[in-house]
Amino acid sequence: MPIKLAVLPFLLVVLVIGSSLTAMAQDSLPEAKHAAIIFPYPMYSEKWRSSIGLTLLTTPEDITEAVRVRVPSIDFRVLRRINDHFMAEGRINSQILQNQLAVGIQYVLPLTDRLFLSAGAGVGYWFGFLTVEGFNSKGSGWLTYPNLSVGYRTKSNLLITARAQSSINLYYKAFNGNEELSSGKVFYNGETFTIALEQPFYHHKHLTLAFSAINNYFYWQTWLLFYRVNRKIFYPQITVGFIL
Amino acid sequence: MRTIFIITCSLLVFVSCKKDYKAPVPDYNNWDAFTAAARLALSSQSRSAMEGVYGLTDGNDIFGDTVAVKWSYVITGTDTLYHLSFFCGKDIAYIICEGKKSNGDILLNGYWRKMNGVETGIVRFSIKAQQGADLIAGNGAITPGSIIISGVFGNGQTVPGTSISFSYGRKLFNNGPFRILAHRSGGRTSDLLPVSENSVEMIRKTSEFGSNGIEIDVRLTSDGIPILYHDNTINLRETQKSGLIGPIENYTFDQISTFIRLVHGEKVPTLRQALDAVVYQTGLSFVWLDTKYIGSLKVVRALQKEYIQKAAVAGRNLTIVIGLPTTDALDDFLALPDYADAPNLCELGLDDVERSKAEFWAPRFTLGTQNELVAQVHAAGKQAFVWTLDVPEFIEQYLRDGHFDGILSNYPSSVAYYYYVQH
Amino acid sequence: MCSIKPFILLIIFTTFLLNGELIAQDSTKINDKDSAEVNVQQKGRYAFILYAGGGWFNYIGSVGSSGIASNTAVVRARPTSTFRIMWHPDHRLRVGIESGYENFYTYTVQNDTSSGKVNLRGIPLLLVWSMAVTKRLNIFAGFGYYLLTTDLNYKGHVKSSAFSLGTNVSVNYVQPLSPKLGIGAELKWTNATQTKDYGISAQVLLVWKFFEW
Repeated sequence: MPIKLAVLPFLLVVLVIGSSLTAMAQDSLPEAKHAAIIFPYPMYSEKWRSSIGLTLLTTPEDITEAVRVRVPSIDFRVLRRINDHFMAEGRINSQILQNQLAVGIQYVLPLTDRLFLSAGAGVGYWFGFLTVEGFNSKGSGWLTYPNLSVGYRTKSNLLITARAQSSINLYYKAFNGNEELSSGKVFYNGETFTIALEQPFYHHKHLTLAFSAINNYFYWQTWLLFYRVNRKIFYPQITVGFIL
Repeated sequence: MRTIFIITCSLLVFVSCKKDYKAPVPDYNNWDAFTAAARLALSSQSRSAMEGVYGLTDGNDIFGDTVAVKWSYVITGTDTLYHLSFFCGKDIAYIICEGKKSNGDILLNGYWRKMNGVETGIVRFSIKAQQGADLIAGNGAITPGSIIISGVFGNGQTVPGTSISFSYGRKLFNNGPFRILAHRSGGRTSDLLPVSENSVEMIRKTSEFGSNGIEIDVRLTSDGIPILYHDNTINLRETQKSGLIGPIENYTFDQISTFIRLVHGEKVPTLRQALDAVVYQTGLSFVWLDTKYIGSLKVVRALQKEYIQKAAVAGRNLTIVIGLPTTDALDDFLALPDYADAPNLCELGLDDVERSKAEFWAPRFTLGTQNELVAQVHAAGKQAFVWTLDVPEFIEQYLRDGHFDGILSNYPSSVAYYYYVQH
Repeated sequence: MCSIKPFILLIIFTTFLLNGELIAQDSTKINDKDSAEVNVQQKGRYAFILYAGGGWFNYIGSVGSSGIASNTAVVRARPTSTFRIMWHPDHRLRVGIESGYENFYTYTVQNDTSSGKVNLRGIPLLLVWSMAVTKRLNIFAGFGYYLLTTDLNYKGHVKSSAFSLGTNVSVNYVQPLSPKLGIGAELKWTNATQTKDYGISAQVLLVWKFFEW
C-alpha cells in the first residue's frame, strides 16, 4: 500500500481534531520529566529525556520458518531539546550481531492540555555480521522514517500515543565471502503502527509499554535471511522500556 | 475524545491489516483454438533444436530482454506430458506452456508467474509455420531470428491481450552437466507454488521450474518409515491443521497418513514413493537426500541402493546421494558397513569430505565462492555445489565468479536463466 | 484476502488502554475502606496477588484437516483452569505470570477399519500485564507461549508436545471477601497464535493477596 494511502486515514482524523483546537501555552502543562519518551510531549524545562528497554519481535512462520522469535533487541532512546517545539531524537537497537542506529527530528504541537501532535523524520543505519561456522556474511543499509504521532494525556498519569511511521529504503549492501551485493534503489519499504502506554510503574519509575504492527518488505533484523520480497511481511513487536 | 480515539485506532487496524498472500495458477484451459488443436508430436531432436536463448521484442518491460527456453517432461501412466518453460531475467519470472499443433502452426498455452511476488497471468503463443514451426519440425537449419514465438499475455484470470514476442538468438549454454537443484524438491511453502514442498506432486512439477535435480528432506516415522518432511515439528507452515502436535517422528506412518495433509492437501510421501516418482515419472538426474534426523541411516541407504539399481535398469542417468549436513549425520553414515560404496554429499569441511569418501562437497553460500577450496575439490576428482542461493544477483555472481558444479535454490528458474544465457 | 484476526488483540489492547482513563477517578483515591480491598493498593505499598480459578473453555477455531477419516465428532467445550501471580506496585499497571490448563478440543474418527481419538490441550506460560479499570474490574493482556500436547489414540497411543507462541486477553470482576481475599468472575480470550488454536472461557476465581509490603 503506498505511503499516502496508508497514512491518509490517520492524517484525516488528526486534521479533524486539530482544526477545531488551538495550541496550548507551556505554562499550563505539567512537567513530563522522566514520564514520556514516545508520547509527543514538548520539552519546555528539560534538556534530555531517555529510556532503556527491550523490543521483542516475532516473524511469520512461512517466511522465517523455525526462527519465530528473534533475540530481544536492546532499545535505548534519547531526546534532546532544540527549542519549545523541536527536539532531536536518537535511538539504538542492538542485538550485538545486528544493530540499528537512528537519528531524527520531531516537531511537537500541544493542541490542548490533553491532546498532542508530533511530526518527524529520521534516518537509520543498520549493520550486521556473522562469521561463525558456515557464515562469512556482513550487511548494512540506510533507511529513512517519516512519522506522525497523536498523544492523549489522561487525567491521571497515563500517556497514550498512537504513532504511524513509514520506512523508505535508501541503500543496502551485503557481503558473502568476497561476493558483494549492493543496491542504491530507493523504494517504499512499508509502514509501522504503534500504540504506546507510558505511565508510572513503581515508585517514581515510569514504564513504556508499546505494541507495534510492522508491515515491511525488508526488515533489518532479518537481513541474513533475505534481502527483500515483493510482498509485505507482518512483524508484531512489543516494546517494554523504563524511562530514565 | 474516547470516540475519536476508538475511530483512530480502528483506522490503524484497517490500514495495518495483515494480508494473506496467494499466487494461484490461473485457469488457462479456455483457449478454444488450443483445445481444438491436435497433439504436438516433436522428436527429441526437434525439441532440442527449439531450445535456446531468445530475445524479447515485445514484453521486455515485464519479462526482461532475454529468456532461456527449455523443454521438460513428466510421465503419467503411459502418457508423457511435455512442458516448454521460459526462464526470464526479470523478477524471477517464468512462463510454462503446453504445446499443440494446428494447420502447420505450433500453439503454446500456459501461464506466467513472478516468483518474487504474487503476479501471475495467462499466456497464449503461436509459432507460425513460416516463422519457425516448419524448421522445428525438421525442415531446415535453425539460425538467429528463424524462430519467432509471438502471442499475448494477461494478468490474473483476465483474457490475455498484451503483445509479446520472442526471437531465437542462440543455443542454450552447455558446459557439461551443471546441476540446477531445486530446494525441497521445488521450492518452499512461502514461495506460493501450486503444490507443497517435499511432495510427489512437486517432484513431478519441478522440471518445469528449470531444475534437473532435487534436494529432499528425509525423516523417520516412529515405526521406521523414511518420509519427506522438513521441519522439526508438525506445524501450519507445512501441513493443514490436524490437532497433531510435536515432532513428526513421534507418529507412525499410518497415523501420519490418516491425519496429516500437506498445505495443498497432499499426503506426506514416503521416500520410496518419492524415489519412485523420480525414476519412473521424471527426467531428473540428481537426488540429494538431506537427512534431517539423527539415527541409523541403514533404511535410507537400502532405498538408495535399490533405486540406483532401478534407475540403471530403466536406462535412467540418475545420481542419488545421502547428504551429510552435520557431524552427527557423518558419524551415522560412517557407521554404515558399506559407507565407502554409498554415494554421498558432505556439507562439512574438506577433511570430512575425505573421511566420508564423498563425491560431492556442498558449502553454504554465505561463505562466498571459495574458489581455492573448490579447486582442491576438483583436483581430487570431486564436484562442488553451493546452497541455498536465492538472490538473483548472487546467482549471477556465483555463476560468473565461482566454479561450482551446481547450485541449490528455491528459485531454480532463476538459476536456469543465468546459467543458460551465458555465452 | 485480508486477515484481521491477529488484530483482535490490537482492538482489545486499545480498549484496555482507553479504559485506563477511568481509573484516574477511582484507584488513586484511597480511603480507609478502599484499602481493605484485595484489588486495591495503598500508595507506597506493594503486593503479590494470586488468582486461581476454574471454569469452562469453548474452542472456536477450526479443527482437523482433509486427511481425517469420516464421522468425526468434535467436542469443543471443555474444563479449564487459570493460575496467575501478579505483582501490584503502587500504581495502576501490574505485571505477572500466568499458567493454567486449557482443554482445547477432542475429536474422534471412524473409518472402515479403525477408530481413534485426538485430544489437544495447552498449558499457558505467559507474561501478563494488567490495569484496574475500576476498583474491582481488571483487564489483563498476556504474551508468551503455550505448551501444547496432543493425545492421539489411533492404532497406538502417542502423546506429543510442542510450544506455540500465544496471547490472551481477559477481564475479571473481583468481589472482596476480606482485606486479603476476594472472589471473582473472569472472561478470557485465549489464542495460541502459532497453531491457530483459540477460544473463549468463563471462570470463577479466588483472589488472594498473599504478600504485601
